[in-house]
Amino acid sequence: MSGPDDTAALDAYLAEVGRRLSDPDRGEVLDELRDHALSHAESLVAAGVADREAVAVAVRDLGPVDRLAGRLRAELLRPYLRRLSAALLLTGLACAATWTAVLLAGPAEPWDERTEPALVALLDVSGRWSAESALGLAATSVLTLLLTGRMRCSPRNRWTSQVLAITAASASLVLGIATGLQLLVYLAIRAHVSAASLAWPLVITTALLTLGAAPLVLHPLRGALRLSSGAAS
Amino acid sequence: MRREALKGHLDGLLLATLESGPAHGFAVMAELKRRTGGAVDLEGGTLYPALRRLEESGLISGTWSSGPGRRRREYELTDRGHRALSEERGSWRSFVATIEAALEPHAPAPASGTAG
Repeated sequence: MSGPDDTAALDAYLAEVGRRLSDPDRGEVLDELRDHALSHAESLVAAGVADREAVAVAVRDLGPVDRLAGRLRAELLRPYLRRLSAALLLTGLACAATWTAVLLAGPAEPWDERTEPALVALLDVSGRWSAESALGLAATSVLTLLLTGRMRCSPRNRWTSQVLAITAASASLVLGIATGLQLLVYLAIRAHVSAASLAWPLVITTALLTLGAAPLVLHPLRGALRLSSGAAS
Repeated sequence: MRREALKGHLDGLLLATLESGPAHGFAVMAELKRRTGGAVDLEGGTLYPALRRLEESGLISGTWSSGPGRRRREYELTDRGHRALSEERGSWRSFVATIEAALEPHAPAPASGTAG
């Protein structure tokens, strides 16, 4: 069956949808919508409707651009959010385990209760709090997305869960970075007081592993941010 | 049919439509409209997010094929999708039976505590 010749209305509609998506998968989404609209228009033409009117009806039946793009964006965002949450949880656990091993494997801390710098005492408390909170928030995000990824979850609950997961993952990311910075300051103080108090080969290996794990978080984060910037445009 | 009435049932309806074999988005929409006598006429803004959601949940899988001069994405039920549809049918039939039993006109229950 030959398609309608005048598809200007469809092209304009798809351009608007594409402008609101900004996602690597956008091309596939637009191809699918184009096929849908053209299939619809072809069925109308076969029933005797004129080309231009058939395309107009097919475009109208896709629904308002904002509604279509908004719902698609929410569904496209979800896999990125799930990967980001899982990456935050897994890399967070791995970093916590390996850096704890670094600290335990080195010689004893170069201070005792009486000589411990006040900043180290503060970092000890705040570092633990931020690390545990970051892991807890990442786990919350993963669980929220898992529990609301099933059938029968209402759109409102899916939307609420997505907002909760975005908030938890963002807070987890910020706290994870804060934990890393606190660890750096702690290591700098400890090495300054006694350079021999750290197992340096282990420190360097663990630092390289930490940097190597960063893309696991950065890749889904970039995708999520791209979709969010599409929402703002 | 009002959109609110479909809430909670759309996923099951889409799975049932795909049960007979792979289909692309417009064919799914047309088949659902045909089966319901035109009562369920989905717009693209409802259909495609729902298909994405079902695919992400592993209940359907999508593959690209070549259509009439353009790319076309076809969906089919996965094993998990078949199981989910079966569960959906079971719970729907149970729900309908319960509501029907409650809505059927009943003879009034005999008055208790007769004089004697």
